[in-house]
Amino acid sequence: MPLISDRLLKRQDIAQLAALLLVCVVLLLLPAGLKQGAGDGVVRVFFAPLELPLYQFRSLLDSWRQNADLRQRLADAQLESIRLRRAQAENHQLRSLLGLRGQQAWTLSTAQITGREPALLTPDLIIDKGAAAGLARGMVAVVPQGLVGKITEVNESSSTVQTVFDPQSRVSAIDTRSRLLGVFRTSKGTQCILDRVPIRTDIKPGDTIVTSGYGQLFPYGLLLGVVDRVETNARSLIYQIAVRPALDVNALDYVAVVTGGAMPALPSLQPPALPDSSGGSRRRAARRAPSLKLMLPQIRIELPDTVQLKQERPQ
Amino acid sequence: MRRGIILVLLVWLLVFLQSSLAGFITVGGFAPDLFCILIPLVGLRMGGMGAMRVGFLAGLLADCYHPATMGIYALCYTVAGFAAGAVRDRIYRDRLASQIAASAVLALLAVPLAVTLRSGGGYVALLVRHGFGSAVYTAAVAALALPPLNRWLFPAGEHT
Repeated sequence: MPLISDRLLKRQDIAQLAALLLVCVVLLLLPAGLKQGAGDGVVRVFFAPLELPLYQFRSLLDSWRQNADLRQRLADAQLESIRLRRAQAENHQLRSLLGLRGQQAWTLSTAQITGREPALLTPDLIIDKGAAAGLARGMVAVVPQGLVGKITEVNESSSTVQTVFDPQSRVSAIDTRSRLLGVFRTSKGTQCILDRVPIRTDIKPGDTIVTSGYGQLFPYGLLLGVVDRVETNARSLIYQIAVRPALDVNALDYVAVVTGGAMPALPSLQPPALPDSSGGSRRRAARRAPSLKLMLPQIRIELPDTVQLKQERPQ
Repeated sequence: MRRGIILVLLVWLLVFLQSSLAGFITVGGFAPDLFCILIPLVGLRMGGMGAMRVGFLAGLLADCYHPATMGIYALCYTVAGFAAGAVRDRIYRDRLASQIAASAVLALLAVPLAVTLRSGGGYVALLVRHGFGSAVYTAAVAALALPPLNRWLFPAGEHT
């Protein structure tokens, strides 16, 4: 009996299958280098011309995808950067408040600003601490840059701070150089001014204005701003003094509320002693001093100095 | 003769599409096997001889992209062509559904077989993991491609 029947051998398809499979087996047994060279040659000759534009299209597509991905990453990085900057600013503010706590003998309670009353031109601040944290109406809110305002409304877990920029706010203020008293307030809702400073007194741009403590509400020495402009009006007996505020309320995230502790002593209303090298200016200042003191009834008049100044005049 | 040239060109185009464009049309990790559309069509309409030649040529050209295992695709598609020719008298070979089913079955069996022979992986695992998905995808593409291919290659419903 033959191994392969005649009927099977007569079928052409079987014969062709066997031949093709034999070729396949031979191909499989060929040396790897030969197969590699042949394969590369066929691809290079028959398919590479078609693949070049496809490759360019694919690389264009890849670039487009990469571009979209990079744009997304850039947006994410920008958001992350904004978040980090905000965290850094918050960190800075909190560190400053910690520093304030160390510098003063006050008891401070740090509170986060959780809202702003939008109806007002200079909005009140809403903070996240209230009566439960020991806050009470009339307490003072400060930051290292200066005075923020006072608490006007207290709830259980939140409070409202009326800032010094509120049109209703009045703060007794003092010029740290000349010891002139005035009232710090806003004018027309936008500009800060030092009010009730009589003309022909010693005040000039660049002078630092702080709380005087004489109003019994705000402690002495909290920074309010710097004198920006001093103008006179022929029909007025007081200066129009514009003050550049030290504080940007919109940039605040945290405030410290003075909940207790010793208040600093009230400042002397005498101008500090001038250095010897400025004798001329000291004399000019001294000449102006009597008129200042006479025009400000709330300022104590100290005779010895006046006498001393009168004695200096003949020289 | 004319049909032979057309088939050679078609095989060349399919090899190019299969090797270069498969990455663009992959869905869920599955790609259609375009040869498994042409080979059964030729096998059912022309018989096993033509299908084996088409399968061998397609496999050989596909092997050029994988020279290290040259011969495996040729072997698989040759056997696929023979199988398509062997069943042509047992099914309704002119019906589109039969052709689509033949494409799906070939994709289900031949593609995992070729991958198994090339990589040495388990056939059953590849059949489960890739075979069914590829078969379904190939059947879907076959449903779109076979009507125009039938009209173009066999205009009057002729048979060899």
